[in-house]
This record gives sequence, C-alpha cells and structure tokens, in this order.
Amino acid sequence: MKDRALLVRQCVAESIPRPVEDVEIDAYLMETLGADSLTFLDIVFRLETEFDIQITRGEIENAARGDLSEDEFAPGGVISAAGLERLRELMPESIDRIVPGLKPMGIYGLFTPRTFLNIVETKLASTD
Amino acid sequence: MSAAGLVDMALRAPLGRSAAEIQRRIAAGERAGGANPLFDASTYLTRLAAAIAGEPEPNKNARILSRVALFAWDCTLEVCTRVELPAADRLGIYTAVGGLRAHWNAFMPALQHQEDDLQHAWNNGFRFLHPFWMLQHLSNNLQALLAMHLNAQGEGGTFGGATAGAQALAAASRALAVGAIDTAVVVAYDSLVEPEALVEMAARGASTHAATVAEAVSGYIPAEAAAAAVLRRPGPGLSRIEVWESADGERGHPKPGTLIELAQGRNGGVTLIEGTGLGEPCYQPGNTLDANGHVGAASTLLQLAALQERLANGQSGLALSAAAPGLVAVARLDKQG
Repeated sequence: MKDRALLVRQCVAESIPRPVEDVEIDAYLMETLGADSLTFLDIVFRLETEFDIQITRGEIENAARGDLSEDEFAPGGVISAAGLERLRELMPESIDRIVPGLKPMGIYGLFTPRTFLNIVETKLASTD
Repeated sequence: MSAAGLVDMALRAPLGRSAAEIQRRIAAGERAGGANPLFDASTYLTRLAAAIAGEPEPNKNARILSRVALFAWDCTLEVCTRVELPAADRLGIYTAVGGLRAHWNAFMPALQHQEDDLQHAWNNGFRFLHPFWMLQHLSNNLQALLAMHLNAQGEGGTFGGATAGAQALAAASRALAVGAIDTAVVVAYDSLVEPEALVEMAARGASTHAATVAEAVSGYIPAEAAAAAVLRRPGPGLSRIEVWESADGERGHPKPGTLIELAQGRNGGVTLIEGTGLGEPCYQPGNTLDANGHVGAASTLLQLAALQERLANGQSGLALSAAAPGLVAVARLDKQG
C-alpha cells in the first residue's frame, strides 16, 4: 500500500510548488511553505483526485462550529472558547496555535500537510 | 509606424535558449522538427512537432500559466535582470498570446465518460475539472502576473492571434513614441503543439504526413516558443526596429500579394531577410522559423532576435511572417551596438 503521508506531501509539493523533500509533514503551509488561498484549492483538488474522495470547502470550520451558530462560534469575528476547544480536538497537530484571539480566517494558518492527511484518512475510513 | 530601440532580448525556442545558440545550430544544419515530444500524436494527421527542450523553472504561477507561458515568464525575468527598469508608471507590459483555445487535455477527463443526457455529470467527470480551469484560459494572465511582479503600472496590453507579437511590438512602439511610457517589455509566446491546434491546422490543410523530418515537407512544423524584448525610444547604441502588420480577410493563409504590399518600400538597404513564414513547401536553409518550426504569436520576436544576432553593425534586415487567417507582419531591424 502506498504511503499516504508521502502522497499527501507530494500533492502539497506539486501545488506550491516545492520539492517534496522540503515539505515536512508538520510544516505550516502558509507560514513555512508559502502557500496561499489558491494553493489550498489546488491541494484539495489534487487530494480529491489522488484518493477519490470529496473534501467540502470550509469543512474544518464547519466541523469546528458543529451546531454552534456563527455568532456563537465567532462572536465579534473572534473564535469563542467553545470554538477553540473544538478546533483543538479537530487539529491536535496545531494545538499550540489555537489560542484566544484566533479569527475564522486564521484557521488556514493552522494547516499543515498532517491536517490534510488526517482529513484524507477520516474520509477513507468512512468509506471502508 | 513608430520606431523603437531594442535594448535586449531573451528567448526559448526548440533550437535553443539564446539567439546565438539557435543560429549556431541552424548553421550546423539542424532542424527542430521530429516526432511530437509532448504527447502521443500517432493518431493525428499532423504527427511532426518541435518543442522547447526541458521544462520551465519551478513557478507558483504554474497553476495558472501554461507550459509555454511559463517559458515566457522565464524569458522576461531573464531579460529584466539585465536592464534597468524605470519607475512603475513609466514601464509598460505588452504580451502576445496565440489563439485562445480550450485545452482538450483539461476537458477530456471531464467529458469522456459522460452519459448522453448528462445524468450524474459531476461524478462522471466534471469533478475532474480543475477549479482553476476557467482562470487558466484567460488570455491576459501573463500580463497581469508580470505587471504585479515587475511593478509595471504604465500603459500595456494583451494581443492575440498568429501575428500578436508584431501587434504588441507596434503598440509598444507607439506608446514609447508619444511618451506614454519610457520602457516597454514585450513578451510573446505560442504553442501549436497542442491537440486542439493540430486538429485545427489539419482541417485547414496545413498538415504534414512525413514520418521523419525531410528537407521539403508539405506544410509546416507546429512548434512552440517564447521570447521577451525590452524596448525604449530609439537612441545611440540601440538597434532600431519598426513593425507593420496587416490582414486581408482570407480564412486561410493570406494572399502572397498582401505580404508583398506590406513589405514594399521598407526593404531599402536590407542585407538579410528572415523568411517568408508562409509555410509553403520550400524550406529555406537558415530561415529561423523553418528551422525551429512555426510559432505563431512568437514569430516576429524570434525573427528579430535572429536578425540582431546575425547582422553586423550598420546592416539592416527584414522579418516577414504570415499566418491564418489572412494575417501578415513585417519587421525591420537596423543593427547598432
């Protein structure tokens, strides 16, 4: 079976673009690897094609919000304590950065290749 | 028509990445045509092609720009590192692109398994259409991205079609002449080595059936090329260029008289003519376009680079090109420096 982590890193590497050797699994996509919002779209497309899955746009934020309303999740544009707690459960790889003051747009800054690997494995597990 | 001063050029073509390399290989008798190196063209009427060797430099813009547009980016950055650029509002970017075509390699995965009534269209293939598909087909992508990268805020434009390179040069020359800008970067690129382009050419009768490169072929070799030129107002030490373009309304290649009429009176003192570019079965040894293949919008810039390389100071040359539909271009270069 192909190494899923390597496949995810390859998809990320091709999107940025950077050599796959430079794409460490826990590197922050935006801050360390130079990804932007268009890169995220491209990464998602490549992962969907590679793994034959569908990744809903904004599903991390939607999963974090759960049944919280937008005002409950991010009152005044800042993620609430409850929202932060759920993000920490969803994105343990970035727990150090999920701190008070985080805004919804800042969720992109938390993404690492491991974030996408976790998404891929969750999707694949749900279809097994 | 306004004249401009040629400051510097850079290019990527099937026979090399500099004018000197290309002319050296042409003089050694090389021609770039051969089996299509970019995709399997065995089922196409046009099986010969010529491509730029190697790949463009890694570039974040690869998600938006095509392979040959990325080569054009490389050319532009190469030449711009060698020249001094003016303030933002005095620098203009002029880009010349080939025909705007939907790229089949992007469409085919999305369409080939569709049902007649398009039921389940998303699952049957549209999910394979890249989210940037529409963005990738915008003709002015390169101009926009270069303008941001080079901080160019002066007058510029994007031109399309087989003589777009000549059109871009002419427009840049006019802008310089009236003082709208002080420096123009003219970038041209085109690839005829694409499935949709080969089918179109075959339908127009411009195809070759040769399995191997022959001295005389029926039609021309589809190729790809990119080139960038930096222009200023004419001055000491700068080769002077003038460009004219015209059209006669023909759906296929223009009438020979159209090119003759455009060139008339502009060839005084000329010692070298860079090919007719008419794609007729009369290969001319040394002709840059015949040796590299036909490169549509990049033709005039490629020819000017050849003239700049081959002429001695004080000599003049003429570059002639023609393409469907009914388009012709003439460029004159008076060598200095």
